[in-house]
Amino acid sequence: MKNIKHFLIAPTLLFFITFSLLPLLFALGLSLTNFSLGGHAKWVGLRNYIWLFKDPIFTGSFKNTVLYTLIGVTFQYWLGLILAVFVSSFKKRRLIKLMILLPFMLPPLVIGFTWRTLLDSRFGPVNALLKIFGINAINWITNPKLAFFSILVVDTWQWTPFMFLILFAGLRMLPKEPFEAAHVDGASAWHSFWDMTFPMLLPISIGAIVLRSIEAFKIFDIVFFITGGGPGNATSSLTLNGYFTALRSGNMGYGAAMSVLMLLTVAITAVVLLMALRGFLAKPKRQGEIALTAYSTESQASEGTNLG
Amino acid sequence: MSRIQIDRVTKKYGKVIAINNLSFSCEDSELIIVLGKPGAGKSTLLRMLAGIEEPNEGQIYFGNNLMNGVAPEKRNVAMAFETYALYPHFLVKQNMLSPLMSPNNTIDKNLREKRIHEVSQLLEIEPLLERKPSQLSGGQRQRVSLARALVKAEDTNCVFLDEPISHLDARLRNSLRGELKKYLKDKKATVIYTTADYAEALGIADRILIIIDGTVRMFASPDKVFDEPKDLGVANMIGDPKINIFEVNGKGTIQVGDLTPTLKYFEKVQAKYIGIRPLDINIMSSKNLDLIPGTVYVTEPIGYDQIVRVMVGSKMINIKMPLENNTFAINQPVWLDINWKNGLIFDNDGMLKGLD
Amino acid sequence: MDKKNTLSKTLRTVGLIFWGIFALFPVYWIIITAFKQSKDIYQGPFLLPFVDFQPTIAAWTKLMGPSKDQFINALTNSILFASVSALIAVLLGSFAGYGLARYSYKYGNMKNNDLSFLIISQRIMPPIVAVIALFAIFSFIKLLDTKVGMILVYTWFNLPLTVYIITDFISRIPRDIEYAAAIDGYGKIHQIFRITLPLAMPGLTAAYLLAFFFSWNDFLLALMLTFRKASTLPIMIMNLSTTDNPQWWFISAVGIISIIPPMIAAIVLDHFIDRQLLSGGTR
Repeated sequence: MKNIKHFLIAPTLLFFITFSLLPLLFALGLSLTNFSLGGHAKWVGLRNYIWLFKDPIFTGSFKNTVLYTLIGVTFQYWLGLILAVFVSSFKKRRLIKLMILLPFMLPPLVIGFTWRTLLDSRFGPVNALLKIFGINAINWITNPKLAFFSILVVDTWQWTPFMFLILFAGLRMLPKEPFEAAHVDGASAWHSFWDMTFPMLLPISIGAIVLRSIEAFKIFDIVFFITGGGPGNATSSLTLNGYFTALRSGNMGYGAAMSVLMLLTVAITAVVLLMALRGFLAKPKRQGEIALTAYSTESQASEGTNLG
Repeated sequence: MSRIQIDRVTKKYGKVIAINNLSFSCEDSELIIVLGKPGAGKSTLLRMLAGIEEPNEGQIYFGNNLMNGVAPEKRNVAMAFETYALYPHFLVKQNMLSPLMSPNNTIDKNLREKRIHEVSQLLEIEPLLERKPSQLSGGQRQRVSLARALVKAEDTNCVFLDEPISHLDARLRNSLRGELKKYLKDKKATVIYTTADYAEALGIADRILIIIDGTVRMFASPDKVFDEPKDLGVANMIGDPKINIFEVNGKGTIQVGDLTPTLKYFEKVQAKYIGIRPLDINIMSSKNLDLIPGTVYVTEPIGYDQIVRVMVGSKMINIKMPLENNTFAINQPVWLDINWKNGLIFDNDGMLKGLD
Repeated sequence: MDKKNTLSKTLRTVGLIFWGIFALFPVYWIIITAFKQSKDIYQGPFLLPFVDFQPTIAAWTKLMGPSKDQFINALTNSILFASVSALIAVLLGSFAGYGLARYSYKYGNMKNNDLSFLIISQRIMPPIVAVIALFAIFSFIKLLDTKVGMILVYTWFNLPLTVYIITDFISRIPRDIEYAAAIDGYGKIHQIFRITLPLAMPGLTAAYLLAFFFSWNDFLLALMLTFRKASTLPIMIMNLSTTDNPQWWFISAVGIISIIPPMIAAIVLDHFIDRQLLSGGTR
């Protein structure tokens, strides 16, 4: 009975080993072969990786994915923050909140085809609206640069609610006292935001940005559906490319190598980012945390169990 | 065979030694109070007795049975936690019923209502029975926690009460002290009760266990503890206001602030410290060169008495005296008549020597 | 000061209205598209029902008629996979969560925190990494395009999330409450079922809803590991869209159905979290 703790965690660890660890090792091994569906595997060493670096489709999709992440997350963060601040000043929050969250609740595929019809250059309402303003039909999907932009817009449409949700919750949890004190002291809303709200939100902001970035890197569904990676490969993402390579073309060894590189990128970036953020934002983050804990212990003392 | 016996128990948390080689034993139906400052180790001691923590070294016995490694549910004990630990999702009544309804219970089903009624009357929580803990104030929650421990007090090996009335308002605390003692004595329960309040200890205990920094300093009846505190640490814990400790200089003089009055008295006695109780000092408002001069720092009336704190140089001296006919103003110069004969004498190690 | 307040208030309201239009228009669009006919779509955008076009239920009759089997299959699969995998993920997540929150582990050099990190870090790994290999493995052990296979995959997919949420939740329940139950005479099993479980239920429910939500909305895993038998709604939508002139009105109808369960899950969840935050966490 004492050993029950091992049984408790065993199933989860089993899943981890079977579905994450083993496949990862398998993918590593696969990436060193030239295995194709229906063919045989032959050891090729690091050839796949060397090819990848010279492969314009891969490097293009890599560049795209990085840009989607960097630009997208930035926009989503700031928009989400603005929305959170706006909504928190309203009383009838529930309905507004639901309205804002709606895009995020939709299955990505539905989002994909909805926007595809919206952005259609011939019969999409977006172009129809622009026509009223005298702007002629724009090829949102077939023009390479615009297509990239369109994906960003849809991604932002879909994921800003996510940032909003986290930041809104964070705002709600902030103690009221420092703001009341500042108001009494005569601070303006602008100052009060930048000197107090923002620093206090930093820990949560960082968490939200990291979480979102990890997800953003995996972008697939909307690219698949709206542009299919095109025109050409202008909007292709790493996951999309991996999928096409491994499954559509059946080039699994090469596809595996792609996915391994993708994993390495995420892992290294995450580590580097965390360390950098810790250093760069250490002081304001610490200030924010100190303020938060100072006030939250006070309010905790009057609630819940007495931690004497 | 004692009811509870602790034998050379040590408890460490990492490098911190919470309980250091502690031993004591108590008899059936005794009411033991563990007195100590916060952090002294009182809670740790109780948790080890209850089976929530295990000692690193040493043994714990209930009667002849070794309790090391025995789970709490098998020890047949009751406990009121300092953190209350109420079940948030149960009503107050269900919280109190919980110990009476456990699987291997021997308590008669029909007696349950009676017990709940009795205890909730005692602790004045009858109107709260249908509420949930989140709807109670801090003091009410503490009483429910105590109630949960009391409902099965009479059937247990021992009842552990961890500062059970410390968060109640003064009126309740004073009235409950006596009632609680009576209840526990009526039920013939063996009780180990912790507190940091010495008056509570003196009022309720059969014997007081004084813990300082995880070690036992004294284990004796309240009278003995009060009259003959074993060392300086103990002496400092007994009394409100605190006892006044003076250092004895080598040449038969006492250090009182900057003054060193000579006392022939102490030329013969080997002492390092002398403790004078606040009651053993008288204050004179008229100048008297035989007495020790000082300035009134503050006066605090309490009922028929008052506490006067007087500064002699840099030393603050606590005095307790009747209020009637004795009023002093802040910063008033006064002269202290100290009854040295009634003092407690401590040697170089801070241990009590005989009384004079 | 008041002038400034009304100005900023107006700005906020305007901002929110703009965002509201931006956020909700696509949803409106898809809803009305489901009530259109072919010509309504291909002859340019018509925005207002009864004004620009005549709403019909053609899409819906098709859904219930000729395409019924395919639709019911996809719908059943989606519901089955999401609800069952979420359940298993919560179950296993509770076990692991209780273990990590209440016991100390040490496997080699790894302790509780390291184990937690290991489990949760699976979320960082892009699914494509594992899925390519899983495709090969599954085809080898004949789990491709099977209901069992998909349920297992979605369970794995959600475990990091459920473990994280539940561990956090259980560790917020003061241990003293469990000790109090022990002292009251209850053994470990009783403690868990009488005390820990009820108190952790909000966390378990939140974890379930989130797991359901993410399973339902998945596309990549279904795309790579199913073909026909175990297809889910997203796959059906994809299949319908890859023709030259997709029947958007019909696809919209399917799309609307596929929106409803996750939306319900999200609304219930939101209601839940709201209450939690207000009552200051565990009581």
